[in-house]
Amino acid sequence: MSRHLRDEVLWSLYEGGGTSADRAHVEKCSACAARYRQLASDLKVLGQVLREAPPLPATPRPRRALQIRWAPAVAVMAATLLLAWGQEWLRVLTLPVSPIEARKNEETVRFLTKEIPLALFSTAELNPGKLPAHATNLAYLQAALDGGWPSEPCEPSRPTDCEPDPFSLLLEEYGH
Amino acid sequence: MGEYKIVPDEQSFYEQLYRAHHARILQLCRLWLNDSHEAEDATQEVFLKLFQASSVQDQSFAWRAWLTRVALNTCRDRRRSSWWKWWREKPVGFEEMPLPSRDPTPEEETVSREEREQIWRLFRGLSVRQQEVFALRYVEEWSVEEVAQTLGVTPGSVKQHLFRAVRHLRKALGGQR
Repeated sequence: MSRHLRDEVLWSLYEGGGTSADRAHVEKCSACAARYRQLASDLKVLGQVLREAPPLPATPRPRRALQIRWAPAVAVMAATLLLAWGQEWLRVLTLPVSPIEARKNEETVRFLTKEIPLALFSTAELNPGKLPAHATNLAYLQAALDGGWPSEPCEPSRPTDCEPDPFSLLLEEYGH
Repeated sequence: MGEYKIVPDEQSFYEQLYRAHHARILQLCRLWLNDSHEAEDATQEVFLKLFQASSVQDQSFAWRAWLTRVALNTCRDRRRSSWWKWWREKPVGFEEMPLPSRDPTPEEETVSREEREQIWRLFRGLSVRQQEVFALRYVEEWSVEEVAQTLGVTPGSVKQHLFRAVRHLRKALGGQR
């Protein structure tokens, strides 16, 4: 008698494969025949059990209760922290302002709205005497080009819609 | 693979298919999804597709194989979804789920409750591909060629997965069976 067949060969025979020599061996060898019958029985039972409803576990698994699922735990913790931070932020926003704080705010507002504009746009120090009493259009134009005098309204004799074009003023100066 | 025969009454055709295959498809979904509620949802999805297909497809169509393929793909889609992967990380115990009642076979009577539980647990420990080929071959009793055609793999690959699954299950059950 040759050596016994491997499990894979027995299974192949069960599936309709294998060689005629392997089949002949199973018919002759009682040990391999018994293993073949056991394999067929096992596969039948496995298929049959898996066709039925899964059984209820006889005893609960205690390990399950102690298992921590880290992803949900971290998510819950992050959400809790975010909520706590948001609540704190809202609380600070809605806190009543103390009298000292209110006074500081009031002073700041007054400084920004009153003192700064006064300092920047005041005309108190402007000395009109420095301006020439009579200035020709040419001198006036030159001063304006040099960045000296501020703009001045048109002469009374000129129409209200006076010409701002400096070249027309130049032409007028030279009598054209 | 058995084929569903032509039913003259078109209106009841879907109902007859439903009655003939619902328990089988539900059980396959339980095997492939390992969750009774998910399996029920997947089965509903399969039969919704059947309802749509049965109105346009000829009644002599190979409905049994078609349903199995649709169930397989539905379960695969569910397993692929991100929330499923997240959810399935938790261990799942066995649940008693009612099936159409019938008398137990002699083999079933000899299999103890602990053995059945262990078989289910071991089956769930197989790879997805092994679960698929094992269920189609030994639960659905398809041929290796039919399994290969449905899964889009070679018969040799099916045999390889099958043998590994069988060896793993038998080795683990070796002390009992």
